[in-house]
Amino acid sequence: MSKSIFISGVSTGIGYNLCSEFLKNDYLVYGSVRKQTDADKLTRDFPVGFTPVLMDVTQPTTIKKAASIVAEALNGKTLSGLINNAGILVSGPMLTLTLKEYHRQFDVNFFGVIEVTKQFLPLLGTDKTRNGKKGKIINISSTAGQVGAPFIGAYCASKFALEGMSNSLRRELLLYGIDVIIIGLGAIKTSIWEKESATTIPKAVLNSDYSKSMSLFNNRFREEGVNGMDADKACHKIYKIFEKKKPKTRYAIARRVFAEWTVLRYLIPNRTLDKLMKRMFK
Amino acid sequence: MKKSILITGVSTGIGYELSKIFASRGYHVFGSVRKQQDAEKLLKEIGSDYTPLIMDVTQPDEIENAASLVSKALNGKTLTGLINNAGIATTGALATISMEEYRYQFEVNFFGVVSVIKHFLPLLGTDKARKGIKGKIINISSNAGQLGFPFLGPYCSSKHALEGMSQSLRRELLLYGIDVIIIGPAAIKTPIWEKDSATTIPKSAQGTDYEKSMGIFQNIFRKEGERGMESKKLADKIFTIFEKKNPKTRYALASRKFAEWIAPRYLIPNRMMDNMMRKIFK
Repeated sequence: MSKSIFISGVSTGIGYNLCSEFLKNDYLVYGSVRKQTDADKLTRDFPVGFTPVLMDVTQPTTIKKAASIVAEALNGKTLSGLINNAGILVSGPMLTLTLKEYHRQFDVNFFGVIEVTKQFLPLLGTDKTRNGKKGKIINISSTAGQVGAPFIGAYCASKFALEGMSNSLRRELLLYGIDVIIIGLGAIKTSIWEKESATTIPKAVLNSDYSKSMSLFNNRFREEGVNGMDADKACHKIYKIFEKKKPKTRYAIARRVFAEWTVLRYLIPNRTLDKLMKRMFK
Repeated sequence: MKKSILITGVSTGIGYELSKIFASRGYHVFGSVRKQQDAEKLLKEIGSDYTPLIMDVTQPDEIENAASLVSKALNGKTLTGLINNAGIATTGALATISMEEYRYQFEVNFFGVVSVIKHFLPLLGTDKARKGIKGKIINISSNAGQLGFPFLGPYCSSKHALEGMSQSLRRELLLYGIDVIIIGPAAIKTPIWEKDSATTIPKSAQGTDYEKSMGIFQNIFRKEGERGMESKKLADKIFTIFEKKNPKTRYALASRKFAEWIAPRYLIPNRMMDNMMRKIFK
């Protein structure tokens, strides 16, 4: 009996590499994309074992449809895994970011994940009539899920929210034996940064006091990205974690775990980091 | 020159006690309530040191009106403080709760706070034409802002989001000298639990696999509440923190700090806590 996994947001980046990694390990992979052209490309790239599913995490009807397509394919069996990977980055300081932009950030990175999880829970095993081992959920978070950086406040908040939700959900799903694991990624090459053109300064910011400091921060972020971990290496690690018998509840994955995570999260006091950052504000 | 503070959600609980203590210590208090009768009650108790604002944090035009009213009263001076206290607790399992309920939790506890801050930032001092020392923001979070409890997923994740946003915002506002402090109270003797009928099993969970375990958890939450800190004592502590010259970035306030915060947050591993919780699930 083949193992199966559903991965959201697979057109590029981590999602794409996750498909490749799980296919290599003989999983049947269902990957969501928003555009038919991406679906076609992926079908060509992955001719065996991959099924593209058209779905936008902000459109509940497309999620329901995706779940029903996967349910039909599973034919009464459980889905082995769900990886909530789809995400966007909305950047800008709170002073200039609109409430609508905050909502957009949360619609994709947070409410989208909840809606997908709700729709796929029966397939993972809350529906007790399904046969097979219970599924496992992996939520792709970020260093920004526990460390709040300036100019990406909306993104940080959405990832903090995702981590809080994951901890609550993991405990609720103890009843069913469905596990939930958080992956906190550090800088990754071919990351969200380039795709969302997050390194260009929004117009509203250019006309604000933040124009100069935001570009300093963005250059820093871009440098981090260029020096980040290769996506295929990160995905191999995620696969290994997925296969673990007794995984931890959260894993920090970064090329330089100490510098990108341990120091920021555990060693530098907040006020000290604030002072270091203050020098970048001009 | 009299100091001034805006406190949201002052009809009951911590907000009510905060209004009284700030007024008694020489501040002029702008306190938001949603109903006129609550405003009258506070006016009777506090008198001329209190200005009621009829404002629902989910209604941007009401926030805008409130901001222009406060701005007029300040007459070119800065607002000394903003305490984002208004909040609700939505309970329910992710599997059974509706997206509408989940989103409303965030409208009040997260987007509402973002919206209020955005509207009041100029008064706190991003508008450099204003005179006086820069204001300070206090965001009322919870121990649930760093811990994920089952059946409180919406509340926990909204408070996690608030904490992430606060960290990013504190760093962004270094440019202006406006500080942001997180307060994480544990159990409080306050009507929030009764108010949101958080201790009765929500309709969404009735008749589901969760009905029994949720009842058990809610009894635990209710007992915690009964042993919690008095809102008046909590408000006194928050006042002291507000007046500190060199405050920390976050304060955990609990009547039993070890049991409610240090042990679950720093000492008990997640998986061990999961195992303890698993026994409660029947």
